[in-house]
Amino acid sequence: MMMRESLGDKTFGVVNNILLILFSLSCLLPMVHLIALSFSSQSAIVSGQVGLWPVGSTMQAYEKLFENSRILTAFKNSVIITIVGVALNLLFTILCSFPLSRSYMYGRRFFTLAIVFTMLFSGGLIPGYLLVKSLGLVNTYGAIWLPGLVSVYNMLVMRTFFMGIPEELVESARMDGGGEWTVLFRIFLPLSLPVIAALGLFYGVGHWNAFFNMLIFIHSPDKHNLAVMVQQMIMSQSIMQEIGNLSPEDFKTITPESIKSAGIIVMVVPMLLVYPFLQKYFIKGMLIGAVKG
Amino acid sequence: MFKSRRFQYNIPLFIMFAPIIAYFLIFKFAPMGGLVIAFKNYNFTDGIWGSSWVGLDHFRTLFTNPNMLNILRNTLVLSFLQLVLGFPFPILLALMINEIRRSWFKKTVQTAVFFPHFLNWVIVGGIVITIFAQETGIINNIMRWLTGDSYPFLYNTGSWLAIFIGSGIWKSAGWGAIIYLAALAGVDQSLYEAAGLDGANRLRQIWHISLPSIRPVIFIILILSIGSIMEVGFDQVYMLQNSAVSQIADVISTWNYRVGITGGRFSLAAALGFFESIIGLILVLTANSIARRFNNGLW
Amino acid sequence: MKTMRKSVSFMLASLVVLVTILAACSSGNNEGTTGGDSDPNVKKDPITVSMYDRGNVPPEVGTVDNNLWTQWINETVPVEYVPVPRWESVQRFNTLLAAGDAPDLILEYDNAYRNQLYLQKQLMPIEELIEQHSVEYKALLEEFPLLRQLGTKSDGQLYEFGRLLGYIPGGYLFIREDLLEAAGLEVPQTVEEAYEAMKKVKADQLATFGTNMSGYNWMDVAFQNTTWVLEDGDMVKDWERVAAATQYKKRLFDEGLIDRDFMTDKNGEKALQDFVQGNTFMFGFAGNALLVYNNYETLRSNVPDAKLAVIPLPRSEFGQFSPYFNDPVQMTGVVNIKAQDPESVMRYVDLMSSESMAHTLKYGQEGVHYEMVDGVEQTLDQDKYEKEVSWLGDYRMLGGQHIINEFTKYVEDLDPSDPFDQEVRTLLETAFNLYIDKERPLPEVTKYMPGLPDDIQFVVSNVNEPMSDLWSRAIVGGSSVTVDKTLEEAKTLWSRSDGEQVEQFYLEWYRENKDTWVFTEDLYDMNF
Repeated sequence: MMMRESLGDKTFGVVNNILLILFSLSCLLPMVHLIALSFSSQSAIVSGQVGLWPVGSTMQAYEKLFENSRILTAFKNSVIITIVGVALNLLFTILCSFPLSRSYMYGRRFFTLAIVFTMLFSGGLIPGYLLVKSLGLVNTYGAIWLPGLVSVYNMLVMRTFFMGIPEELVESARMDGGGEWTVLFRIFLPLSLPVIAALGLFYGVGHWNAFFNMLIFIHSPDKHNLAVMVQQMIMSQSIMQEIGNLSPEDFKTITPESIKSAGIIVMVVPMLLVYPFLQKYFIKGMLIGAVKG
Repeated sequence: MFKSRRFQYNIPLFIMFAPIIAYFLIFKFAPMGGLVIAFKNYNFTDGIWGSSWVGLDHFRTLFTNPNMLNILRNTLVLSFLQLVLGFPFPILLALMINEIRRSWFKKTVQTAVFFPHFLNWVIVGGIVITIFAQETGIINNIMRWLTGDSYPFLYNTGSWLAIFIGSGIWKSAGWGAIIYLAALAGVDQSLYEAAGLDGANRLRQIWHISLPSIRPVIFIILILSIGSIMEVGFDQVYMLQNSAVSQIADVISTWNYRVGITGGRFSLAAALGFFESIIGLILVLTANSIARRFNNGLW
Repeated sequence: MKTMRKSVSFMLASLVVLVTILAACSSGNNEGTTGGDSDPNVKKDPITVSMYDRGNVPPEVGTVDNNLWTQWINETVPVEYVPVPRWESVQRFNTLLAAGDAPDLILEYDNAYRNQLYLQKQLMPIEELIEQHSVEYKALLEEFPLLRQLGTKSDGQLYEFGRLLGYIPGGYLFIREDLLEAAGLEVPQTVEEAYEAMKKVKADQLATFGTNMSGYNWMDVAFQNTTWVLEDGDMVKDWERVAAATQYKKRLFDEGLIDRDFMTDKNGEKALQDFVQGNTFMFGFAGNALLVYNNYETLRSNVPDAKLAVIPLPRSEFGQFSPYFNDPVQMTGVVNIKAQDPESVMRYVDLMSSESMAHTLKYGQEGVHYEMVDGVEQTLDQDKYEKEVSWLGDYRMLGGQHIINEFTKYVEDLDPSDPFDQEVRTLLETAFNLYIDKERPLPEVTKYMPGLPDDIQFVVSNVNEPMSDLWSRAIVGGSSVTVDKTLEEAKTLWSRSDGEQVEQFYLEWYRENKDTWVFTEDLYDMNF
């Protein structure tokens, strides 16, 4: 519906846009720099000459990166780990937050407290490893998916969203003869697409970037994901700080900056391609309106 | 009692909740047994249960260490500043993005501000240092042009703090805004229209409609952020710290890295972790009881 | 409601306890040893050996634990490799040890970590093993007694296997000859002369920086700033040298002869950038021969007239020293005390220590990867070599690897007909001759500092960084922070942090071990 905009509102809009443009540019610059690095020649990079534009343009970094056909396996692994992981995460997060959002659940306070407790206290790496081992999950993706099944932080956020859904909707579903399951599936989930999209994104990025757990729990290099590969590239360069404990081999395996930058770009690009698809869930008003109608 | 409606509703709830209980018991509570490492002299041969009990010894070692007071103070200061200064930004950013009219512009901005989250601190730290370097940094080049003198941004505690907090905000604002954007997406559009007809300008609409509708989310993230106040990210501090500012830039995580983990002192590191957890717990409980006054407590 | 809640709580609490106990019990069982079979007729289980995973094995060849080489090795000794990430090896080993899954043979470069394992009693002494079951390694021990000396721990027993690498220079002091000429200077012989030279070069506007402070700091070597020194036959904490070195650096800083941003240059990246752009007059560099080549090449492309020379480190009042070179003998392997089949472990070590194995792991298999031409190995197919052989470095962690010295091999491989190659060759050979010389030794008392007991290590870990930060601040502090004042503060900090305990430890250790340990002077004159 068209409204006549006051001068004040117009100014607000302009100022808002300008500030956002400036901020967005600042966020983009490092990425532009990395892209420039990935297309630059090694000697230009070592000389510190590369700014926002490639120097000595070359595709060499990307060629080398993809020559190492391990990258395709790693990519495939990353995709599998992320998709399955997110599905499991969302399922369990919903199963956890929905009951806890119902004020009539028995022991609600107790359970919430207990769960928050687990967010603060943890046994650490060694007990965690022992547990995974005793369940026979070492070197399987189960070790990646199961321990982190529910992020308490994310769960509480979803619970907050659920708690914000008007009671009348719940009542109307009940009057139509629906039980809790119906309430969950017919009412809550459709209304919660924004938060599900957001949490899916959080979990997804978490899985996509995870390397530490991979290094500890998964031994077979062909099960490793992209994040591990890129991390190895990054770490191979920081050796100056360990000068006492090196071997000649360490100097031979330093990854050139250009390839490292290319690796980082390759890791980030898929996220950026996925994000716009999720953005549509953040468009305001799309959903409440639909339900009301 | 078993026939009450409440009971009827709870049956399906608990069917949903059962796997959750199993999950938490197996994967969260069982490993917690390992917390006893903090009270023992853990070694591989004796394992967790066989290692000898030393009670509070490790805690004593930690707190009689001359560095420790400094490190604790630094951790709290850095964390507190990050919280107080950094908390409003994602909210602000989300509100601003929400106000964009053109869809393609909105999507572009949203994607752009999302980027920095993916860069790890090795890269961002390098960039920050390059920008603020005393000799060749861009900022100082501008300063020299304007005032003829350069300023050691990275070596003076005050400016270092500002850079530390600022870079942290920059890196996480876009990411943090996502959840607020999701919340704003659920706001009833007709409320804005009605307010507009009543003569409210956009600023007032934000204040009276957008903000209140994301109040619950703000509270919960605030409480959880307070709970994690002891965690000043290792990577960020490690990449940005230097000798000149080590008096304020050495925090628990960097100290632990130097002294705890690399030294194989599992028990000491565990004791430190335990201490952090206790503080976190106290803070969360406190924050929560305050939040309850506003009807926005966690429980 | 309250009673209901209470009983639920009680139930849950007991469930938690139950599960915890169960988990602990099962993990307790797993922490035990894996069942061993002492029946000699039963086929033996393969031994397990750790191997670094750097993510650089081409997938068509396999993985670091399963490829043509592991299969070939298995024909002689049944072995299962346990991949360990190169840069998170400590965490990984710790979890494996905690779970009782650690490999029988642990190969790890980090000396401090192996020492920790010793302190935690996770290691098996190997003297008997070598005596009774070894041929190759035993012979190496006799030829190079350092292998035994360095592998012996504080209880007098031999625990560690090692390898011989030969002499490989790792640190260089480069000087721009072209700038020396332009300024009409001679090569500086003392640190004072170096200072004057830098000043003149800067005054003549020939270079932006006299030298680098970040990256490899040659001044610390020249001033013997190594914290522990020998005085009157005792190993003591040094205060003189660190003060002198700091004074020197401070002067350079105050007069604008070095990059004012050195403190934030963590990896020495910026220092290197300045150097290859031609802005630095004297440059301390740490790296291998290939890196020397690459960086010189970059410098040449940026500044076509640039000419480098390698010079001995200038003399200071404390003597004349040389930069870092690789440990000619490096300890790398320890045996897990829980190893079921130590004999086979020894056979494996023997296999990997032999000269023929070293040769194969470097060149590949004759006829497949290389052929002999006039007595020199010639690679047949560079691609095949890259794919199948180039990444084998970590397999060469044991024994007589000195027969193929990376450094000398690189120098030999340079093209005699290419003038640039020859220039680099001169640089490298000069470095080798200048720096591996008893007359200009390494500055430190010993390359192989003893492992510290836990409480001493704790003191050291706590005090090292604040101490070095203190000295760094003296350099940049301007006139308000004098070296003398800093010295006092440093001494206060040291005693407040129980530094005397550390001094006491080293004092006693040196007195007890000065006849048996390996010191700097023992490292020269080794016949590789």
